[in-house]
Amino acid sequence: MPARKVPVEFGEWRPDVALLDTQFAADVENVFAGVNSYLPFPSLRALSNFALPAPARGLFSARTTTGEWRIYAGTATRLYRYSSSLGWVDISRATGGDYHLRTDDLWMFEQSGDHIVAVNANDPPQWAVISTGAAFEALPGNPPNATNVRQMGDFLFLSGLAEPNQRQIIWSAINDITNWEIGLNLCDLQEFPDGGPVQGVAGAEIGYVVQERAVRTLQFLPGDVTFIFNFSRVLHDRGSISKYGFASLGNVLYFVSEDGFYSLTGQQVTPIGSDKVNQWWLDNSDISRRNVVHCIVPINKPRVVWVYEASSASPRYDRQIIFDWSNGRWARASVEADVFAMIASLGIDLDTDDPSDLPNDTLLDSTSPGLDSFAYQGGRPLIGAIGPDGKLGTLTGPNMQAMMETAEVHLAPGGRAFISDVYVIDDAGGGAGTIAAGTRERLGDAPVFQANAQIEITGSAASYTSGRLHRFRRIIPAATVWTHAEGVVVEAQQDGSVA
Amino acid sequence: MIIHDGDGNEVGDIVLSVKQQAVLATGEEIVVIYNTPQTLRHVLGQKSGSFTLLKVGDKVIVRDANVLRRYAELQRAIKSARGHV
Repeated sequence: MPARKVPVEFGEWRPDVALLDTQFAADVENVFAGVNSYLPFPSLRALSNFALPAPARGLFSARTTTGEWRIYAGTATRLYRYSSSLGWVDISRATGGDYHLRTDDLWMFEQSGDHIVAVNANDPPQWAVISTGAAFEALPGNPPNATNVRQMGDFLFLSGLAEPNQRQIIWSAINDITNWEIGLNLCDLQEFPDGGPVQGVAGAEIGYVVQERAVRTLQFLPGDVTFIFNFSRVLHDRGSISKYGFASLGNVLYFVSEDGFYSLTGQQVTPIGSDKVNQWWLDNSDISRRNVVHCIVPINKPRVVWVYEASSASPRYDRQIIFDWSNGRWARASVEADVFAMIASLGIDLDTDDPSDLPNDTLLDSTSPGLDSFAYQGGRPLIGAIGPDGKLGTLTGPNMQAMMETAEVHLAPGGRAFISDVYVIDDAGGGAGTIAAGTRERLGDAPVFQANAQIEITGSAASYTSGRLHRFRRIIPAATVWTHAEGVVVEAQQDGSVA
Repeated sequence: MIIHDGDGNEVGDIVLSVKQQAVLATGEEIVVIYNTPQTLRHVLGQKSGSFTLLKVGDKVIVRDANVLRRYAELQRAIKSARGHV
């Protein structure tokens, strides 16, 4: 049989299905999933050299009434506001001493008008005026401690309440987050008889009460002072395993349950991770910290990101599993950071001499962009994080080292195949990176990968392997510029039998 | 906060939020609506109503003293019931 060219696509990453002779990828790392390719995943780029004095345990950005953005962070004991000139400014409460964040817990923040509210289980909810940058102090009205805070319409909801009220939520008086007197101005609480502890509240026009083993919709009843909100259980036996493991985008709720990932739109539940990544994730995440898996919904891309720890040895969040809701595909990445959150880019100081900043025009003598350009204004949504070094960064750095591995294929059906050449279908600059072929004779054997072969000037890598089953692993080095990776084309011919 | 009727008589002592006090301080009226919390209706029954407050001098005045009395009574009952349920 003469040699023939066989395209092998990376395909959709679906590690939960049997992969032999499919068009699914066996594994990917540090990529985003495109509709027919994989896309590069940027590294964490520090925005400044200012470091938090202790590991970050919360991150949030809020907008002033005049449209400027402020970035807040918390540690186990203090709360901070970021200043591009001063770094992290301690704006912890003046009275009451250090905060007492529980081990592994995060600060949760919410904006309500010109105030930011910060909660954790061990301290009374805190609030601060955003526009003045004032220090935090106890939220008036004596609200209960909570692990989750959410503004829904004219009400501020607190959930994740302390025992014995874990099945309760409480909301503020209408349009008054300083009033927590139940029965007054529509402030009230609701207790749910089943479904376990309430993890939090999410949503927009359709609100969701996310419990450990149930999800309820929440709808404001204008003019009804008797019930105020209508609650309907739309999902039972499944809820969020993590108090931070859910988020909403519009009216769609995304959450991670005991058995994997789901989305919920009104009453329509979709098992978005079933037969795709659920089992892989359960096998490759730290079971002891699944209760603090954190879900982030980027608003600049059609993606949902869950950050988690890979194993009990992970000192902090070190993995991300990413769902692209526009094409239903998954991908994963390995960025290590103490906290992740959606943040907004800060405005650019036109006096900057940082060459990595926009507009990179220290003399202000270029004709584009103009001095009032939108490019100078902050507010662009970015995935932010505070890395192990305590520095605030965004996922805008050079591309990370990417890895994509094809499914396993019979290149010579019914027999063994000899591979002589592998051509990569990607635009990694200068043919950067390597390809490695993995082979095995039986599905019960462990695949054996040959040494990584460099891509030559022809776009191919010489690969001399023989086996019944083949798979191909492409690695694109860190900092390589590329846009799409689709797969490989291998030159294969029938080989002799091992018998 | 101590609430008075139009004649300056003390009617009741109720909790007003920081925001409500701030609005009163500007001379504006505030309307307070109340209802029995959902979780206590089986104990206290369904009660609801509303009253209007305004600040005159250094005193907060209620326009309908009887409604405020009923609310103050409900507020005491809520506190008592929450202490026992």
